[in-house]
Amino acid sequence: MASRKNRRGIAWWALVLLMAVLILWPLVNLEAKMATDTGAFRRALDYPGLGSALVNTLVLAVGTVVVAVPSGTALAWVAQRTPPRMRGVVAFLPMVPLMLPPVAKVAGWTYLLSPRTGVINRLLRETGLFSADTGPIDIYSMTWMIAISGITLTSFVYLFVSASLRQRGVELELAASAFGANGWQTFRRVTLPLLRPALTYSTGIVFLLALGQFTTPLLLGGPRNIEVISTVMYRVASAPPVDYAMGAVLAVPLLLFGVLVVAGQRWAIGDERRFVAMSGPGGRVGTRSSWWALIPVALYLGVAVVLPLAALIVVSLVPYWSGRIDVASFTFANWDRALSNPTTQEAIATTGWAVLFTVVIVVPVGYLCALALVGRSGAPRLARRGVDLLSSVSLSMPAVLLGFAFLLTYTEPPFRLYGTTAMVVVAYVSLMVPHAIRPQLSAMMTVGPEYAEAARVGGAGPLATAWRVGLPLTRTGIGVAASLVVIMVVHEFAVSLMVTSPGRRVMGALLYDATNFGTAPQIAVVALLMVVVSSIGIVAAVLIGGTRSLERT
Amino acid sequence: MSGVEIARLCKTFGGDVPAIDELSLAIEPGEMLVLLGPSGCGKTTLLRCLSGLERPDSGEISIADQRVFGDRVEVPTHRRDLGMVFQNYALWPHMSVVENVEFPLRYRGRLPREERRRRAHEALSLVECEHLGDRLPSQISGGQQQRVALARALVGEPSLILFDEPLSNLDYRLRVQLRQQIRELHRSLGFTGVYVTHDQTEAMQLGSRVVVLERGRVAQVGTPEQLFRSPKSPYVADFLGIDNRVALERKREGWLANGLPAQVADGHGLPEGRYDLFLRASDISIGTPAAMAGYGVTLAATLHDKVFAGEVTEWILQLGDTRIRAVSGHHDVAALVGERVVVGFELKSAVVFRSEASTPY
Ligand SMILES: Nc1ncnc2c1ncn2[C@@H]1O[C@H](COP(=O)(O)OP(=O)(O)OP(=O)(O)O)[C@@H](O)[C@H]1O
Ligand SMILES: [Mg+2]
Repeated sequence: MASRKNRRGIAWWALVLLMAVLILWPLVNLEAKMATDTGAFRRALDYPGLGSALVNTLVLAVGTVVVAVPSGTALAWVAQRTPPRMRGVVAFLPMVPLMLPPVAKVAGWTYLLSPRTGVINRLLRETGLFSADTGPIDIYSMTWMIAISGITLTSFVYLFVSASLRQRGVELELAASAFGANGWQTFRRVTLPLLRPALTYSTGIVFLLALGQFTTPLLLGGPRNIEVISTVMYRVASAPPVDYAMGAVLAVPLLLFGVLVVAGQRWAIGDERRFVAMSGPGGRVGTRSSWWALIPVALYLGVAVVLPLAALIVVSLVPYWSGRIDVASFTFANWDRALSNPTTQEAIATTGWAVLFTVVIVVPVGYLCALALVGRSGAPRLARRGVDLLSSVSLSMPAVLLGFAFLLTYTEPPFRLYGTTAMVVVAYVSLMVPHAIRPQLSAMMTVGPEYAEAARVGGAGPLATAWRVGLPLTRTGIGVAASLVVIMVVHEFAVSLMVTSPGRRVMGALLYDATNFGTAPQIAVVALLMVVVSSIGIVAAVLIGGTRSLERT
Repeated sequence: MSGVEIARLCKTFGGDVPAIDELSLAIEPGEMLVLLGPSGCGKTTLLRCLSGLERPDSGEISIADQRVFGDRVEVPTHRRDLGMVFQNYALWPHMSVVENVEFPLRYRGRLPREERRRRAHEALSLVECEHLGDRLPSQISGGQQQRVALARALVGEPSLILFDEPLSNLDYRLRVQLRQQIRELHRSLGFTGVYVTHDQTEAMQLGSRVVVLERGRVAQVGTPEQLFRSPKSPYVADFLGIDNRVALERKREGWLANGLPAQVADGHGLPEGRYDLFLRASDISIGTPAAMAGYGVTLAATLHDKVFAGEVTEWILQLGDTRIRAVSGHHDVAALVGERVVVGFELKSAVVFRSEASTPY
C-alpha cells in the first residue's frame, strides 16, 4: 500500500521537477551569474541610457494600462448591449486582433503612420492643415507607442471583463435602474464595483504584459532610440560575447515586478480556480439593446485589424513603398521572390516544426498539470502547489527575460542546443505551459469527477480511464489549449529572436531581419506569411478540438 | 458467494471530527444492506471507502473473502470487482447507451466483441431499455438514464454493487417504480448490494437489513421490522419516522403527559420517573371520551389541523407545548378544528426511553 502511494506521488513530483527544470532553472541559472561576477552590478549601472530606459519602461506600462483598461471595459459593456441576434458574433469580434501577430500589426501601422511615408500622414498633409513635409503623426514617439500597445492589449481587458459581465448577467443593473438610478449612476454604483475582480485581474495582467513588452518598443522605439528594459536586454543578448551577468542585473526589476503583480493578484482575487469559474452561462435577461452599440466594436476592429492588415496587403503588392497607392502597379513579384527564397522556406519549415513539436509536448504536459491542479487526482498537496506556482512564474516573467535565460542555459553544457530547432522548442514549451494548462483545467472543472469514478468502478485502470473517459470529455479544453498555443507560438517574437541562430530562423526572426536589412514590401510579405501560418494552425487546432474551442479561447 | 467485512474503519477529513469512526460491519452474501442516516453522517464516505475511491485512515475491508484494504494491502478500485450506481447517473456522454453498458465487460476477462454486445443487450432488457441502445445518454430521460446506469452496474455480475442515493434525482412516481424494480432485480439476481439513502421508506422497502448511521458510527443494525419495532435510541426512532414524541412522567399522585394530566389504565409496571415516548402515527387514535375508554393511555388534546391525504387522514394534535400526528384510514371523526378531543394509545405499542439516559426501558 505504502509503496503504491509513493509511486504515484513520485510521478507527480516528476512533473513538478520537469516544470522546475523548464521554467525555474534557467532563471536561477541566470541570476546565479550575478553572484559569481561582482563587477556586473557596476557595469549595469554604467550602461548608457539605463536610467531613461527604466523611466520609459514605466511610462509605457502605465500609459498602456490607462489606454487599454478603460477601452476594453467600455467595449465589453457596449458589446453586451448589441442586439441579441448579433451578440454571439459581436462578443467574439474584439478578440480577433489577438489572432493577428503583434509584429505584423506593428509593421502594418508603420505603413499607416510613419512620419514621411505613412498613408494616414500623407492624407492628413493633403488636407492642407499641416505645413511640415513630415507628420503630423510620429509613430516612432512614446505617445504613439503607448497608443499602439494600448490598442493591442485592449483585447485582453475585453476578454476578462466580458467574461465577468456575461457571467453575472444584467439583472443587477436592471434592478438599479428600476429604483430610479440613471445610466451613469448605475454604471458607477453597480457595474463598476461588481467588476472589480475582473478589473483588478486585467489591470495586473496588462501592466505586466506592458512592462515586459518587446515588439512595439523594439520596432517603434528603435529609430528614435527610445529604449526600455526589454530592448536593452535584447541589445545585451545580441552583442557577443554576451554579458550574462549584467543581463541578470538588468532582469532584477522585471523579475521583482512580476512577482509583485502575481502576489497582488492572488491576494486580490484568490487563486486561479476562482477565475476559471468566471465563464458561466450567459445572462438571458434582456438589456436595452441598440444598433449604435455596434459602432464602437466595428471601430475597434477597424483600427486594430482591418487597417493594419489592409496596409500590409497593399504594401506586399507594390514594387517599392513610397506611401502612394497605385493599383496599376500591383504585382505578385514580392511574393514570388519571398516564397522562392530558401531562407524564407526554411524559416516557414522551422516555424512549422517548432509549432508542431511544441504543441505535441506542451499540451500533454499541460493536461497532466491541470490534472494535478484539479485536486481529485490524488496528487500530493505540495506537488499541486508546486505546479501552480511554477506555472504562474512562467506567466509573470517577461518573454525577453525568459529568452535571455534560455539563451544562457541552453547554450552552455550540458545542453549545447544553440542553433538547433530543439532549443526553440524547449524555449517555447517553457513559455507555453501556463497557457496549455488553463483551458484544460477549466474543461476538467466543468466535467466533474463522477465520470472517471464510474470508469474506475467499472474496472478500468487509471490509464484506461484517462484514455476512454478523461480525454474524450476534455476534448474541447484540449482543442482550446492547442489553438491558444499555436497562436501564441507563431506570434512569439522576443524568445524567437533570442534563441534562434542566424542559420535557423523562425518567421518572427526573419521579419526582424527584414526590418533591418530588407525593403518594406519584403517585410509586409513575411508579416502576412505569419498571419497565414497562424491561421492554418488555428484551423487545425479547431478541427481537433471541435468548433466550440474557438469561442472558449 | 460473496460478502463484505468491515472492521474498525476510520476516516477523518481535514478537521478533527471523524466522518467514519471505528466502524465495524458484516454484510452477508446476497444481502441488500441499506445505509440510512441524516445528511453528513458518513454514508457516502463509507461507500467510497468500500469502492476504493476514498482511502480510509485505518481499519480493514474484505470483499468476497479477499482483503482489499488494511494490513499493508490496498487493492485499487478497478480490481475490486464492483458495480456502482451514482446519484447523478454518471453515464459517459460521449458513448452510446450500449457502449456505456458494455464498458465494464472490457475489463472482465477477454470477451469477444459480439459476446460483450449480447450481454450488454441482455442487461438492458433486464431494465426494459433494450430499445435505447444506440442513443446517446443526452437523448434519453432521467429515469431511463438511471435504468441504464443500473444495467451498467449489473452487467459484469460484480461481487458487490454500490448505490449512492440512486433515486433522489427522480420524481416521486419514477422513484416508486424504480425502487420496486431494484427490489425485484435483487430478488431474482441475488447480488450483494450496499444502498445509501436518507429516505426511510426506501430503506424499509429495499433493505434485507438496514444500518442507521450516527456521526460515522453504527447506531443500530437490523431487519426493517426489527428496527421499526424496537429502535434502540431516540435518534433511531426519530430517523425511522417514529417521530411523535411525548414526555411522560409518573409521579406518586398520577401521570403527566407533556405536563398535562393523563389517564393511564395500564402502567406496565413503570416505576416513578420521566420517560420519552415515541409513537407511530398509526398507533394513535382520537375520538370521543366514550370511544377512547378502552385504551391504556388517554389524554386530552386540541385538534390543530385535519389533513385529508387520500387513503388516510392525518390529524395534527396540540398536546401541551408540542404537536403530534395521528394517521388513520377512518376519516369519520366528527371533531372540528379547534375542538377538544381525546387521544388514546397503548403503552406497549410505544417505544419508551428513560428521559435522562436515552436508553430503552
Ligand atoms: N472530500 C471531503 N473533504 C472534507 N470533508 C468531507 C469530504 N467528504 C465528506 N466530508 C465530510 O465528512 C462527513 C460525512 O460526509 P458524507 O458525504 O459521507 O455524508 P453523507 O452521509 O453521504 O451525507 P449526504 O446525505 O448529505 O450525502 C461530513 O461532515 C462531510 O462534511
Ligand atoms: Mg452522500
